[in-house]
Amino acid sequence: MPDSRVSLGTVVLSLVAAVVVAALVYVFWPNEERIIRARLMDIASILTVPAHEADLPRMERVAHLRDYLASDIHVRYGSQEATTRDMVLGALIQWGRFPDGVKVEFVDLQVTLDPSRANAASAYLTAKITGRDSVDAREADVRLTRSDGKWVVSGAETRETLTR
Amino acid sequence: MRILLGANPRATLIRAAVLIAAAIVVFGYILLPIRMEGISMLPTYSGGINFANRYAYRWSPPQRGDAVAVRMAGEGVVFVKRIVGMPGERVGIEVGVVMINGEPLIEPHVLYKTLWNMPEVTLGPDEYFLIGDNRGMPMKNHDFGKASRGRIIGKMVF
Repeated sequence: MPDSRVSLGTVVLSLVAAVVVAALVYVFWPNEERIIRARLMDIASILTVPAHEADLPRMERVAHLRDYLASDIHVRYGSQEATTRDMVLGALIQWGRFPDGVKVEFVDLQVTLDPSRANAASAYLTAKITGRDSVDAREADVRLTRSDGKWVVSGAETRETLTR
Repeated sequence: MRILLGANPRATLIRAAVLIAAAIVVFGYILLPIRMEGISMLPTYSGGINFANRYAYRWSPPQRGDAVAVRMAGEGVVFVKRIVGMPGERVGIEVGVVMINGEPLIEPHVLYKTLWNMPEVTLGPDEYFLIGDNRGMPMKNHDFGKASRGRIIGKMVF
C-alpha cells in the first residue's frame, strides 16, 4: 500500500511556490493602472539629467519624451504655461542645464482610471528633484489619454502644498 | 546555521518575529521616519534621520512653535516646517519679522534672517501658517504658507 502522508517540507514548498506564482501573476497581469505607472516612471527617468551632459545628448534625451506627450498637451507650472508639445519640449531642454545633473522621481503616485471614459486617466504625484546640493518637491496633477494604444500625458499642473 | 540562529533557534525566530512586528507597528503607524534634506530648516535640522509622531495631535491640536511634517501627494516626500500662525489669525512678514495679528512674533529658533516681506493673510478656521527656520535664504526659494490641518502628519520628535 503506498504511503499517502505528505511531508511538512512538501507543504511549505508548495505554499512558497503558490506565493511566488501569485506574485508573478500580480506583477505581470495586464493592468492599465500599472501600464500608466510604468509610462510615468519612464518619463521621470527621461527627465533625470546626467552629470556633465552636453547640449546634443540633452536634446536627444528630451526628444524621447515626444512618445509620451500628447501633441495638444497643456502644462501649467505655477504661473508659467505651455500649450503644445513642442513648447513643453523646448522648455525642458532649457530646464535641463545642470552641470552636476539632477535625479527626477515621481513619488506617491496615485493613478485613477476615468470610469466614464475608457481612454482617459489621471494621476496625482509628488515630483522630487534631487541635485547635488539641493532638493525640491512639487505636487502635480497629471491627465492622460490613450492614443494609438499608448497612454500619453495630455495635461499636467502643479499644485501648491503651502499657499499664500 | 547554529551561528545564525543560536543555541535555541525557536526562541531566536520568535524574537526576530516580535522585533519585525514591533518595527512594522512603530514605523508604520506611530512614527514616520524622515530623512532630512534641504536647507529650509537650518540651523535646527541640517540632515540625518528624524521621526514625525503621528499621535502627537490625536488629543490636542498643533501648537505654535511646533516643527511638523506636512504631507504632499502622500507621505513618501514631506515638508518639515514650523507652525507660526494658528487658525483664524492674521499673518504677515515685515522686514523679516513675522507679524501675528499685527504683533511681532518672537522666534528663538530663527537665527538667520534676511529682509523678507509678505502682505498679511488671514488664516481659515482649519488653516495653519508654516515656515522653515532658515530665513537667511531668498524668500522665493523657500516654500512656506498656509496648510490645512489635514496635511499635517505629525510633530517632529527631535
